[in-house]
Amino acid sequence: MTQHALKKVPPKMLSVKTRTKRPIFQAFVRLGAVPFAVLGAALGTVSVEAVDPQQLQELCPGGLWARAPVRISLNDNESVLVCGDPKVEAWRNVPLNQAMVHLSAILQERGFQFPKMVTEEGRAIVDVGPRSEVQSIEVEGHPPADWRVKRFRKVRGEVLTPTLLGSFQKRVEADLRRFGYACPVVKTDAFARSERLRLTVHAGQRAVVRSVKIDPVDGLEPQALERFYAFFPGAVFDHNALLLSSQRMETDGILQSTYFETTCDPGFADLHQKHMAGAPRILRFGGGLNTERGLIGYIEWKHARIGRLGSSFNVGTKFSYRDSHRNIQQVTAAGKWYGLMDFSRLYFDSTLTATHESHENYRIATVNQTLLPSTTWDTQNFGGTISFGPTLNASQTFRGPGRPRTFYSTLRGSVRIIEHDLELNYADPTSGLELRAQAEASDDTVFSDISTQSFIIDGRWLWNIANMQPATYILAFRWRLNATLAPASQGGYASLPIALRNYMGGSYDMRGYALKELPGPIGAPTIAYVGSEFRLAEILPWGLQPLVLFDIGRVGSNPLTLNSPVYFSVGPGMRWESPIGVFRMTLARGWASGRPYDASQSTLKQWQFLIGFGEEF
Amino acid sequence: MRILKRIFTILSVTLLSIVVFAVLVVGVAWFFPSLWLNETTVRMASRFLPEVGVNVHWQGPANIEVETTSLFGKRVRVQTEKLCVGIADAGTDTCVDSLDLDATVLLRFGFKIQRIDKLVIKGARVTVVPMASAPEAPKEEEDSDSSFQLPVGLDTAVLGQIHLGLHSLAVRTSDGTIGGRAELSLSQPDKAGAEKGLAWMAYGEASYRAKNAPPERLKFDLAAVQARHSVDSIRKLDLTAEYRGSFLLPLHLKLGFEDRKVHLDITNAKAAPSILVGDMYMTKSEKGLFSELTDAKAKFMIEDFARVVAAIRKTPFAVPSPLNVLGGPVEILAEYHTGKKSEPANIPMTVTTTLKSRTQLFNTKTEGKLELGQKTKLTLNANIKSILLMMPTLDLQKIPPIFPDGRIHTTDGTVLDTDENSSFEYFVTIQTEQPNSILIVSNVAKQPIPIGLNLRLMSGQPIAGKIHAGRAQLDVLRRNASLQKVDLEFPGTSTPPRLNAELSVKYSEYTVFVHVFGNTEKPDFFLTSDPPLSDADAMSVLLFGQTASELDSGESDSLAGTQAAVANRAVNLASMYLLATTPIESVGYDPVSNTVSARVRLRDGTTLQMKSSGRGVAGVGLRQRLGGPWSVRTEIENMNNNSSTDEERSASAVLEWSKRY
Repeated sequence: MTQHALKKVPPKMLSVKTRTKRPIFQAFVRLGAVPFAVLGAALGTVSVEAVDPQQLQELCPGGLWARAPVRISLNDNESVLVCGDPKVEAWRNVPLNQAMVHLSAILQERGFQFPKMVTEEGRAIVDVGPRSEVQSIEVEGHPPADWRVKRFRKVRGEVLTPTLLGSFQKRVEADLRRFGYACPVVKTDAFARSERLRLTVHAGQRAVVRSVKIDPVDGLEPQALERFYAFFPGAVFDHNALLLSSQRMETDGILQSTYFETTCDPGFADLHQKHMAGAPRILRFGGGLNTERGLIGYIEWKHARIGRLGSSFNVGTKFSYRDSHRNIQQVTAAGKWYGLMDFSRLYFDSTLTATHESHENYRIATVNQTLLPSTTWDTQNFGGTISFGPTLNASQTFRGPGRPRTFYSTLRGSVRIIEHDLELNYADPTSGLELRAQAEASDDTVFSDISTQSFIIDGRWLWNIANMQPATYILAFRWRLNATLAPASQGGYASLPIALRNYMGGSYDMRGYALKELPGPIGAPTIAYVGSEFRLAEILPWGLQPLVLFDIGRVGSNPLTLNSPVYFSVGPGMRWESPIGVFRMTLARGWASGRPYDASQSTLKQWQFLIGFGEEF
Repeated sequence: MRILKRIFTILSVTLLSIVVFAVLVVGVAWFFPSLWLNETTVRMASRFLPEVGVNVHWQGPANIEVETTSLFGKRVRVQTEKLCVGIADAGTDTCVDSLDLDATVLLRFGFKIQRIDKLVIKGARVTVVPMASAPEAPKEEEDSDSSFQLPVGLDTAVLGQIHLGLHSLAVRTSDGTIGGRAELSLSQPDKAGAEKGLAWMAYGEASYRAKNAPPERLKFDLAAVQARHSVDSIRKLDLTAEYRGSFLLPLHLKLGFEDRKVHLDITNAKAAPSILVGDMYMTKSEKGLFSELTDAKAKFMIEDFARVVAAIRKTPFAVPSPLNVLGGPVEILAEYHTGKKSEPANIPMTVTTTLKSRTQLFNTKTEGKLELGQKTKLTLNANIKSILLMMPTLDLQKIPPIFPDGRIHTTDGTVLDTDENSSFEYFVTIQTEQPNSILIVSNVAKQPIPIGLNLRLMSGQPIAGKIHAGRAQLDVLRRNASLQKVDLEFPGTSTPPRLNAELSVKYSEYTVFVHVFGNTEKPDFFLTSDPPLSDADAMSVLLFGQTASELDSGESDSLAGTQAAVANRAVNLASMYLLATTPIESVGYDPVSNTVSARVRLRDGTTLQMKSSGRGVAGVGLRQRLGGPWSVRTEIENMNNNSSTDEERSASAVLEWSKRY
C-alpha cells in the first residue's frame, strides 16, 4: 500500500526544484517527504480490525466465546467482571447471566446494543449482533429558536455508544454557552432499535454579564487583568470570550493560569475569576523545525508583572539556521509599560531589536527601536489593537541590493482587528476575520538618511461552511497589499535598504515558491497577493485534513502599480493534528504568466514542497 | 256428506297408521339401536365425513354394539383396531392401536355417562400441526369457570377399567415441537361407603424441542383423588416430577397433599439432599387442595443455599457473584388469612438468611405481607444484620462500565410507565441494623468499607433513601489517603442521586480534604485543609504534596490545569479519585475542548495516560503540555520582525522548556 500511495505521485513531484542544490537542503527535502510516505503507509496498513463474523473469538478461556464482525478483546478489568477473578474466591466463577450483564455494558461501549447469548455444541456464545449507528437526532425541550442541531457533525453515522452521548451533550452545552445561554440543561438518550438519538435541551434565558469578581493577586490591581478581558459588563455571555480572556493572560504570562466560574441568575451571569498567579519571572527556551527556516531556536527571559498595573519586560535571543545562506540571529529587549489606572488598556510598547539575517539574495544587519503608544479594545465579537509612534532604525547591508548603510527614523501607525473566535483558535483556526493595516513614513530631515513611506494592508477570513460543529469544510482567504514609496531624487526604491523592500514566496503567501523568492533579489515596491485554501477537516481519521490551495500574486515596479507577470501557486496539501501539534505539508506548483518587467524577476516554474510545524493559513 | 265422512275416516285411519308405524319404527330404533347403529352403518357414514373435514378410518373389523338397558339407558360397546381420525381444520391426526369401550349412558334430558365398565385405549398417537392462517380476531372473554371439568357425569359414573395410553403426542409449530407420552388410569375409589369421587393415576413425559436450543423435558407421576368432577375437590395428591432442560438444572419435585397438609420437597437429583423442603397446613372450608382456603401456615426451608446456587447455576436466574459462593440456610415462614369476602387475603411472611462462605457473610431478616385482592400488594421490610462481601480486583486504570447505560434504550418509543396500571404494587424498605452492617472488601481499601443504608422502593416511583459509606483507609500509592464518608441520597424522584463525599489525604504538615457534592451526574469538588490553606495551595498539596509556591514550573502548570478543569466540570468522579490518590506526573487541561488529560504513576512504576474526553485528537491550544516543564507552544510572534513590512505574523510551533520563578 505504501508503494501504491507513492505511485500516485510522480517521482519528480517529490523533489523540490530549486536553484540551491546544497546537500543539507536536499537531505532536508528528502526528510520532508517522509511524513507523506509514513501517512501513506499508515492509511494503507492500519485498518479496522475486521474479522470473519462467523469465526468464534474466545473471550474467557474455555468459558465464553463471541461471534462478532470485529475483534473483541477484554482488558484486565473487563476480564475480571466477565470471566471472573482468580484472586478472589467470591468472584472466581461469574455465572453466565451476570457475565452477560457486564458484557452487555462493555459491548455497549463498542456500539453493540443487542448482544444475545446462545449455546452451540455446549459452548456459550455471545452473538454481539449488529453495531448501532446514529441515524437521526430529535430535539425536545426548549432550545433557542435559531439553534440548529443539524450543524453538529460526528454524530449521525457514528457508532452509538454512551461515550458518544456524553461527548455530544458536552458539545451542545459548549455551543449554547457560546451564544449567551450560560447554564443550559442538556440531556441525551438514544433508542438503539431505530438508531435515534434524543436531545433534550432547556437553554434557559440568554444572559448578559452582570458582574465580575476577581481574586486578588499580590501587588496587582484588578485593572491589570481586566485589560485582557474579551467581554465587558453588559455584554451577552459568551463562554469563548471567557476562555479567550484566560488565554490572553496566560499567553502574556501575567498569570500562570486563570479561569472563570459562572453563576447563573435568570438573564444574568455573574463571573468569578480565579487564578494561580505563578512567579512573575519566566525563563524559557525552545526549538522547532521547518523547511523554510530550518532549525529555529530561542531563549527568553521575561518579567511579566512589574508594578501594580502589570507592566512587562523581556529580553531574549532567537535564531534560525537552515544553511549558511539562510539564517537569522536576533537579540531583542522589549517592554510594555502601563501607567494609567483609569486607562488600563493604554500602554507604551517599546522594543529594541538587533538582527543579522542571511538569505540567498542578501545578508544584512539591522537595529530597530520602537516606542509605540498603544491601546486595545474589545467589542462583543472583535478585539482590536492600535498603536502609533516613532521608530529608530539602522541597517547595514553586507551583500545584496540597496544602500550599504542606512540610518532612518519613522513614524509608524498600525491597527489590528481580529474576531474573537479566530483569536481563541489562532493555532487551530476554523473561522473568523482578521484585518491589519500599518503605515510608516520617514523623512531625511528628521534623523534619517532617506525619505520613504510604506503601508501594508492585509488580513484573512476563514469561513466554516454551514457553520458545522466541528468545522468540516473550511474555505479561507488571505490578502496583502504592500507598497513602499521612495522619492526618485534619492535614488528611488533601488536605494532602499533590504529591510524596507518587499518580497513574496513561502508558506505565508506564494506557496509555489521558496521564502522571499519573488519577485527576485531586489524585491519590488508594490506587492499584491490573494491566497485561498479549501480544507476538509474531520473527514479523514487520525487528524488528517487534506487541502487544496490557490495563490495569486503580482508585483509592481513602481509604487501602487502592478506589472506583469502574474504569479500563481496551486497544489494539494495535508494538515495533520498530531498529538504534539499541527504539521502542515503543501506541494504547490508555482508559475508565472506574462513577460517579466525586469530581468531580475523570477519566472521559474517549479514544484515547492513545504512542511511546517504549527503554521496555519 | 257420506262421501266426506268416508274420506275423513280413510284419512284418519291412514294418519293413525302412519303415526303408529312411526312410533313403532322409533320404538324399534330406540329399543333396538343395533339395527341402525352398527359397523356397516358407521362405515357408510364415515364415507360422508370428509365432506365436513373429518376423516375416519380403521383397519380390520370394528365391533360396534349398542343395546338398550332401560327406557333411557343405552350400553355402547366399541372394539376396534388401527382407528384413525383426522380433522383437517384443527390440523390434528389421531390414531390408536386399539380402542375398547364399554359404557352406559342415559339419554334423558341430555347426555350423562352412567357407567364406564371399560375404556382402554392403547397406542394413541396424536399429531397436531396448526395450519398457518391469518390471526384470529381476539375472542371475547367468556365468563366461564376456568377450572378443569371432567366429562359430564363422570364424577358420579360407575367406573370400571379405564386406561388411556398416549403413545406419542407431537405438536409441531414454527418455533419447535412439543412432544409427549402419557398413561392415565382412572377409577372410583375402591372403598365401601366412601363418597363418590375419582382416583387418578397418571404418568408420562413431555418435551419441547426448539430450534438451536437444547430440549426441555418434563417427567411426571401423579396420583390424585378427588371428591367431585371438579379438580377443586382434589383431597389427596401425590406428584413427582422431574425436569431437565435449559431453563433450570435437573430438578426433582415431590408434592404431597393429604388431610389439609401440603408437603413440598425439591431436589436436583433423585437421591440428592433437598434444595427446598417444607410443609403447609391449611384450614379450609372443605377438604380439597383447591377448595376455598381460609387460613394456612407454611414453613419452608432452603437447607443449604449452595444447593440453590448449584441448581440454577447455568440458568438465566443464576445467583450472581459474589453471592454465589454463599452457603447456609434460608428459612421461609408464611401464613395465609382471609377475612370477609370483600377483604383481601393476607399472607404475612418472614424470610431469614444465615449465609456464609469462607470470606463472606449474609445475614438478613425480611418480614412482609402479601395482600391478595383486586390489586396484589407486597410490603417487605428487609433488615440487614450483617453482610460482608468481597469485590473483584479492579485496576483503577480503566474501570469498565458495570451495567449497561440506561440512556440507551433497546426498545423504541416512549418508555411506558407500566407500573401505573399494574395490578401489582410493592413497598419495600431495606435498612441496616448498624451503620457498618455491610462491609465491602475491595482491593482499593486496606480495610473493609462500612456501609449503612436505608432505602425505600415503591412501585411506580424511583428509589428513595440514603446509602452511607463510612471511614476506610485506602490502599493506594499515597498510603495516608482515606475515605471519610460517602453519602448517596436518592430523592425518590427522577433527579439523580445527591452525592456528599469526603476523602482525606494526609501529609506530614497538612491534611487535605476533598469534598464532593452535587449529584452523581454532575459532581462538584472543593478542597479544604488542616491547617487551612488557600484553594490553590490545597490543590497543590493534594497533587504534589507541597504548596504552590514550592512547585516547579511544570507542576505549577499541572496544578493550574487541574483547577481550571475542576471549575469547568471536566473532571469526573473516577478521575478526581485518581488525581487525589495517585502520584501525579502532569495534568493538562484544554479549555476549548474541555478536555483534561493526566499522566499518573501506577503501582508497578508504569505511567497511565488518562483523558476525560474520547473524541479524536484534543483541541490544539496555544500551549500543549507534554509533561514536566516541556510543552508545545504555538508562537504567534514573527521570527523576522525587523522588517517594517511585518509580513510573517502567522503561527508556528516550537517545543519549549519554561520555568517561572
